[in-house]
Amino acid sequence: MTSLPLANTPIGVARRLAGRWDLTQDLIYRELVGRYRGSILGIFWSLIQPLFLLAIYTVVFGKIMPIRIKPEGVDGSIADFAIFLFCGMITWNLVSESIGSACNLVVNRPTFVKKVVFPLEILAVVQVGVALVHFFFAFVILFAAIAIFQELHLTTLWLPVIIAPLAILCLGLTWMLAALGVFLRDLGESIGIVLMAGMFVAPVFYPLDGNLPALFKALVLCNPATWFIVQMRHILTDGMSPPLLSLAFLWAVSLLIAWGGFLFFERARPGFGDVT
Amino acid sequence: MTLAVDVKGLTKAYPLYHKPVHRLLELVLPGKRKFHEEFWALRGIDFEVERGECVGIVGKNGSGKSTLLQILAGTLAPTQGRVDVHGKVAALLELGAGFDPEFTGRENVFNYGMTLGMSRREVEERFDRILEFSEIEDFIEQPVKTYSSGMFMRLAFSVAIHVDPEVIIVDEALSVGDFKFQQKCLDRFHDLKAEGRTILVVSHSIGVIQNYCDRALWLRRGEAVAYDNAELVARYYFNDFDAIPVAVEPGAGGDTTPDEKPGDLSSSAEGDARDADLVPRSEGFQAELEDSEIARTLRFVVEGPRGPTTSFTTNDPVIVIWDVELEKPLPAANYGICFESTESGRPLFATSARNDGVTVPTLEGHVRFRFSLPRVSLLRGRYLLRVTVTNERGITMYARVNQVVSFDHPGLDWGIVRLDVDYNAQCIGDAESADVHAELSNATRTSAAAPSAPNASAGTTTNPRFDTARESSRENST
Repeated sequence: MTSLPLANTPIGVARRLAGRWDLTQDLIYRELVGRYRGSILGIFWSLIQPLFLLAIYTVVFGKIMPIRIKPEGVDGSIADFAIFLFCGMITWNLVSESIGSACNLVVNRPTFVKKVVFPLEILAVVQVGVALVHFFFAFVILFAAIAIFQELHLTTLWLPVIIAPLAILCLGLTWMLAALGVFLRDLGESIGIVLMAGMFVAPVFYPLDGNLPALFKALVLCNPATWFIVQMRHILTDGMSPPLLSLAFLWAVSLLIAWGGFLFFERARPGFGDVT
Repeated sequence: MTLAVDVKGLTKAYPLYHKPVHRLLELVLPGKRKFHEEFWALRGIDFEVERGECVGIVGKNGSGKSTLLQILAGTLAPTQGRVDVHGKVAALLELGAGFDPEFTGRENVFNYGMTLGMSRREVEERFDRILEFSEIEDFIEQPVKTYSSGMFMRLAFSVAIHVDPEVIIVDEALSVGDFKFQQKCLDRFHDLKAEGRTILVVSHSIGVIQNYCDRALWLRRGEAVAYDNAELVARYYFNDFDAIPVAVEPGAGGDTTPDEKPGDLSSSAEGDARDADLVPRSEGFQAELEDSEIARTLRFVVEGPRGPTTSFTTNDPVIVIWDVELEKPLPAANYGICFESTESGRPLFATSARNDGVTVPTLEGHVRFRFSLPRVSLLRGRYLLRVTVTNERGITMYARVNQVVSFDHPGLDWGIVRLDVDYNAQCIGDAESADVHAELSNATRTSAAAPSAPNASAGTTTNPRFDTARESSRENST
């Protein structure tokens, strides 16, 4: 209409997003810094919160009610368990932070929909970008902990290759949920419940091994985050490279979902102004 | 001839969805099933704007102006019809939408600039100019939450006009802000226009429409009443004020329906004689309410000597009673009244309580304003009576009512306002002229005193009837 015919091919989409990278960056910065503006500890809060959660989980699941199934290779040292837990937690947090408020992404910004010509599609990129930055902060802590209590593995270098498809997958889901959330106001509420359940149906607190009940294990395997959590532990603490075939497959699937999510978002966009 | 904006058969039906999900079903499901009722915000609008043209859009609240601008800006999708906007668009639908109060002016300039489509480098390059135009150099490193609303607006506007847009869309952005800055913005518009940029502006100011626009589009209830020379459209619009007669008495005739008038542009400048035909005495005009989040008009009545009316006779008393509900207490408010010419938009008389030295208490809750003008000496014609509640300095408007009123006058004296005249003619032929002059002069004054003020002392004339004088003036003028 007012813009050029959209290049909705994957390359066109990437180009469009890249064209708005300046604004995206600025908005990510805003989200990161703005949230803590005026507070004394500032951005450190984004570190303190996951650390605190980690401490609580470690004590509760490691000491008070030791998990029935001990992870393999974890001989009971609390540091080992904490590292095991942290690997799963930060990966899951990346997912839940991206998707958690995705439904309200557009709904909460009526002025962006109606009052300014705003590239709404970058809101999802901003959301995932912020989650990635938080992930990175947390990873630095995890990295330090591994360096101190265990040993570092060269396979850590696989990290970007494993996290990228997860982020891309989240991006696609965020687009989809953001668009749906405009029309289905119930979605925002239900997604919180789904994510809460999802954390327990992912191998965050327990290892994915033979000790799990078969039916439950099948359920856990259905969780898209499972593969990523398992691979994170492999590259960070076990020194194992990821299976290349699965990796390539997940890259392809993630890109497809992201593309689909974007197209869906674009398709639904003309209706945003009518219902926000 | 290049077109900047080309709109053909534009129709916007606001679907009234019972649930947002119905909109989704429509978007996603194949076929044309409908899940809504429709409200027609715009119907079959056609117009084109040439490059470098400035087009004003006028119309009452709810006539579809903002919807049209939003569609042009691309934030709303048209239901039917075609909209082509060529070139980079900067839309000022709401100044400062997207500003984050926690961040400094500088940070917001960058973010807003990038939102409007500039790259970081482009904002950097233009930053000094933006800052200079906004005149808030000293505060640029402060969070914008510390800004006054005027500063906030200046900064937002300043960014928006430095985007270098080819098409600028402005929605009443200029209705706030002090006079000086408004003037500056208008001057800037003038420059932008001279540079060949296209401007579309919604304005309630006849001055803006007539002085800065080439053409004007008049919308009423989503339909285009006229699209023509700005000067003419504005004159008709403000003369009519979108008034749908509310109480046309039998015999008043339906010969002045607004739709017919734009076709009749040739006879537009003929002055009083034509105006007289346009003002059926018993026609009522609807008041136009402009409320804000802070103040809401509950009741608005204009009364003449015989109760509520919008038709007066010259020298009638006028009483305006205006009930307003305030959302929060206004400790430093002001309220005023103004008469404007519907022809030129020029204020004929404007004043306010504070201006007249009246103490304004803290206004809160339900407030009744009463303006009592014992004698309004406007001559025949239509006038825009406007009452406002503003802040102390008159910059922020909380609520306003525009009411077209008509005045009739049996005499043939013409102009805008009836002034009292003392007539005296004498033949001075002999030597005792000085004494005679003094005597006669006193006699004239005394006899001219109004019957309603029999005790008025000599030298004060209150309400004279100049019957003899009128007779003579009629002879002179015919």
